[in-house]
Amino acid sequence: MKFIIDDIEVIFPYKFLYKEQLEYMQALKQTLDEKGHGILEMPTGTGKTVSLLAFILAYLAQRPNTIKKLIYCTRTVVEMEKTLEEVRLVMKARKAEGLNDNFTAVGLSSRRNLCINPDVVNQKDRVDSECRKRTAEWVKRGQSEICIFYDNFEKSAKDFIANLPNDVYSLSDLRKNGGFSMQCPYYTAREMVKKANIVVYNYLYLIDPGISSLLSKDYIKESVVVFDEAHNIDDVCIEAYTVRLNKPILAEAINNLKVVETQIQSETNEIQNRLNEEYKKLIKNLEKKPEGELNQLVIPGQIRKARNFIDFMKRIIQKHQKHLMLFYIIPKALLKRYKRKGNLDIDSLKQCGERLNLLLNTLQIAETDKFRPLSTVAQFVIRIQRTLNEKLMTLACFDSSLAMKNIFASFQSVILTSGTMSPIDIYPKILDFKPVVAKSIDIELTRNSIQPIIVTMSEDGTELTSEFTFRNNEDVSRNYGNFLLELSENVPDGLIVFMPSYSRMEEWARQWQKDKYLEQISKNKVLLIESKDVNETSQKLQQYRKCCDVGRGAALFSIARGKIAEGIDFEGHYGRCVAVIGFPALNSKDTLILERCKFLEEKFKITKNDFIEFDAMRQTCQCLGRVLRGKQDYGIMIMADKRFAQKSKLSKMPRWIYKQLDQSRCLNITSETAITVVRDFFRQMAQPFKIADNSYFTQDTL
Amino acid sequence: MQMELEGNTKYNEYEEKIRNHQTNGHNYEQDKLHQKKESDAQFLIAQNPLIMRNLLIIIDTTKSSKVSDFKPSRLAVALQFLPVKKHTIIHNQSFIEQFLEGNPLSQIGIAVAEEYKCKTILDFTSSCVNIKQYLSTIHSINEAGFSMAACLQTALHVFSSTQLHAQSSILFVTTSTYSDDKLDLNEWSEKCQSAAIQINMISFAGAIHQLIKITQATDGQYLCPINEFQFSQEIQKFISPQESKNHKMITQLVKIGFPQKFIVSQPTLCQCHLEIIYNFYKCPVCYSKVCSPPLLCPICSTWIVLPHQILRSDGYNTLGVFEIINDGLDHICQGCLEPTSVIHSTCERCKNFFCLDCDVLIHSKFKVCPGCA
Repeated sequence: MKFIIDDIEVIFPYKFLYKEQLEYMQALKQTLDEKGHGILEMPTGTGKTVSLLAFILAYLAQRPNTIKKLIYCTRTVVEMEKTLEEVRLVMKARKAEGLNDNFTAVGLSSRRNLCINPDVVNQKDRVDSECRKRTAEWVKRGQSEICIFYDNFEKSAKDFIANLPNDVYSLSDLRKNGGFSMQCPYYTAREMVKKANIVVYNYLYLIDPGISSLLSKDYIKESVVVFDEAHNIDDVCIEAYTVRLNKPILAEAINNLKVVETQIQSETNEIQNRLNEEYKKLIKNLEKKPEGELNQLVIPGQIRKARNFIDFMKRIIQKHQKHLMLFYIIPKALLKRYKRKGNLDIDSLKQCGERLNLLLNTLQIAETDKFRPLSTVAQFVIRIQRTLNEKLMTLACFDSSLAMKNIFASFQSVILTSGTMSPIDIYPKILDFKPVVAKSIDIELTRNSIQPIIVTMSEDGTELTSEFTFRNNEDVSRNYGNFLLELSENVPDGLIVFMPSYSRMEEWARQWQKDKYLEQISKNKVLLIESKDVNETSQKLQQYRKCCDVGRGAALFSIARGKIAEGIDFEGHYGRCVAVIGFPALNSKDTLILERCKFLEEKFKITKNDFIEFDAMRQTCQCLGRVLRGKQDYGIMIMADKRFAQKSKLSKMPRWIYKQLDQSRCLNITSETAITVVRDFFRQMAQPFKIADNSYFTQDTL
Repeated sequence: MQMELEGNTKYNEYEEKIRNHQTNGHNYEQDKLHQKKESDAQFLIAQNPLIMRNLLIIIDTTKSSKVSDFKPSRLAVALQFLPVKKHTIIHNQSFIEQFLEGNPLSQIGIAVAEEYKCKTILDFTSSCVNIKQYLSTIHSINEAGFSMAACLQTALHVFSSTQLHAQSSILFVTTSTYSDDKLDLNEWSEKCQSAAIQINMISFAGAIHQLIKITQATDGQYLCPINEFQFSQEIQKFISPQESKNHKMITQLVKIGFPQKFIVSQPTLCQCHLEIIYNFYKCPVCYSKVCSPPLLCPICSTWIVLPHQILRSDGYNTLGVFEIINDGLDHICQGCLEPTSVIHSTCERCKNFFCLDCDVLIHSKFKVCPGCA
């Protein structure tokens, strides 16, 4: 269907357009028009991605001067493929309308997902270094085997890419194309990213300082950057900037250094020549440097010579080994120590990562994964911000705005969007930017297809809570077990239970095992428990889906911060009920978290309680959001902890969930009443139903 | 009833007509029109209704049937509307009575689902008394473990001995939220599909994806009553004959005999149940004594029916919906021979006029137009 928002003609690939989708596009338009950043919240499963893509593509086509490129960031490879399929759908619809836009869309992922060289792919974890071994600059001279695909790419890359028709290239397309033409898909994709109008890839490609510097050079300011499922973006930023060191890593780093050292000291002419050449090059760079302009490749004198550099690194590692004994130190003090005791220059510290790469290149060492400890040390030194802890030395970054600062500065519009981003005003604070549009869009439901329930008491009136002080209370765990048993009896098909942490789940499970709750639950449903192992979990998910398909029904016990809570959808009968058992608060005893809270309070005036509540609620709502994937879908959202009923927590819920909370019937109730509500709800939802005509537009009604 | 009729063009036209009249009628007439709509619905549903039906009712007696969200318990509610129990709160007649009366050539069998298995407690019969007797023996068990596949296995076994010219359908009354199968459910549901057995479900527990899929695949219905009243309403839907779209029924000549009734003072044994009776019917072929037609003669397999039963069943084919006339003229109703009110209807075949009361009565009970007959 086709419609016009102000002056932008949007082609929408479906026959219906929901009201909230229109609202979403209008908010998007405002953001793009004002060339600013935006935060948009829209409930899950309402066609967020497709409306976003349909609108931005239309904008790209009709206002080519305002924006030139769309960079779409997703969290996982699966999401990436899904997004590319949606792009394809939108493009197809545009073509059907007779528009010829010359758009190219491409997805970029790591070598592991794109490599087609049979010798390399099988290496699994070592794909990266195996690839480098076959594609590095010096390999061409024929010392070791070359990757055919890369060789072909080198020879005819420009022609090949120029000849590719405008289309959508998903990862599988790239692999297929690569197979036909014997071109390396990874490098093709990397090359294509520069020219394509639509680029889809992982968050880290923009946020991680190591990777983004490789890619982002070619980006133009007139781009729109979209972060999908951006509710956890601050954590991603922090994780990307955090480096951890411990004793084995340091020891390994010393070994690495020794290897490098022996290579340097070896008397072979070739290596000596290369080292000399490199040195000369560095000196030359120094001369060329224009006044006032910062040249990245200027290496301070202290580490310019390879031998000196090795010494320098040695000293750093020794310092770190000493510091592992320290309990806590702030980075500034650490830097001072470096300078005073080790005679280590700060400028040199900044450049030591570059220098290391250069040296490894010169020495033709391709097995980067073996040298990871060494480069970790280098990274650590580069990013000194804050550090603490004994044994494990963590350079923990607390400032999520640090990673985003660059992105906000270098792109015209950045859009953060997700199903649960409430309270919306906290994100601009912690990411330190000013959005032009911050909007939470409501869902319009024909029937009450979600039913949030807050359970605070058990049948006998004791409080249900996962608070730390109650953790040894057997009553609490027994009551939770009883509640789950009742739920498993009354929820058809899929039931997903989220618990605060692994340790808590284990404690409870042990108790339930003893009281025979688990045995009884498994009579009603197939019982599956998430484990830390990723492969095992995905197997269990498959099993879960199968059990739901055959009508047996399944219960999945998982962790509120685990893999299942993020990014796995339970559409339709796979998720009829989500129960969050216990309040998934961060461990406030953890030093890192304490420090982070302190930092946030200092810099952004966010109190510790506020932050912990905010984090727990967003995690809860993320879990709850798994259940509703579309207008036909329905499900129950149970929050079982007395803390959920507090006002401060309720106010942090997304509006579309809060609106559905029946204050008189479902707030602050006992588990027995909750079961009655659950039974009624499922009978109500089994009635035949049609989406009301006034909640969507068709071509005629617009 | 209206929900599943929505796609039906015939029904839409009819609805339109009724609505035109409803807009300018009095309260009393609107009520009457509403009743007419309900009684006419069964005549609109099927092009070629199946008048011989075998219905197997499977009742879930596992643990969840004890739950008391329906008062006094789910099972009790299910049984309250099934058996012959006169003067219940809402209806004078129970479902089974209405079913046997509305479909005189049909039979009902009863089975119960227990822990991982299913047990037939009554073979197909059209005797209300028998059904009542057996239903009263049903009680819930303490164990969980409703198994749909086991039920279908039993049902297939039961249906294998019935005639091919009758429509076979199963009515599940379930209370569980799952189907815990030791057998492959898909395999058995496919077998049911190929045997043209229609699977219907009334569930007290909400929609279960897989079971809905099975009912849809066999052209059945999945209903989920919210309360006791709706349960009694929804179970009515199974009374009127249904059209089965994918049935592979074999058209056969059926040997039918019209029996003669005898009332004797000496007690005698009936051939069908071996019970002592005083009034009986005699099979016109082999003269064996049977107690309550319609049924299959136990000796010579003649289908013994009373003439009015055939006539009533045939009504679905011959009796059409009466057209509403709103001409403002006075007519004499052919049914009650009294002057009709403002709105009245006419039979298309004999062109006689009927008042709305008689119209409803004819369509809901007699199934025969007095004018045509």
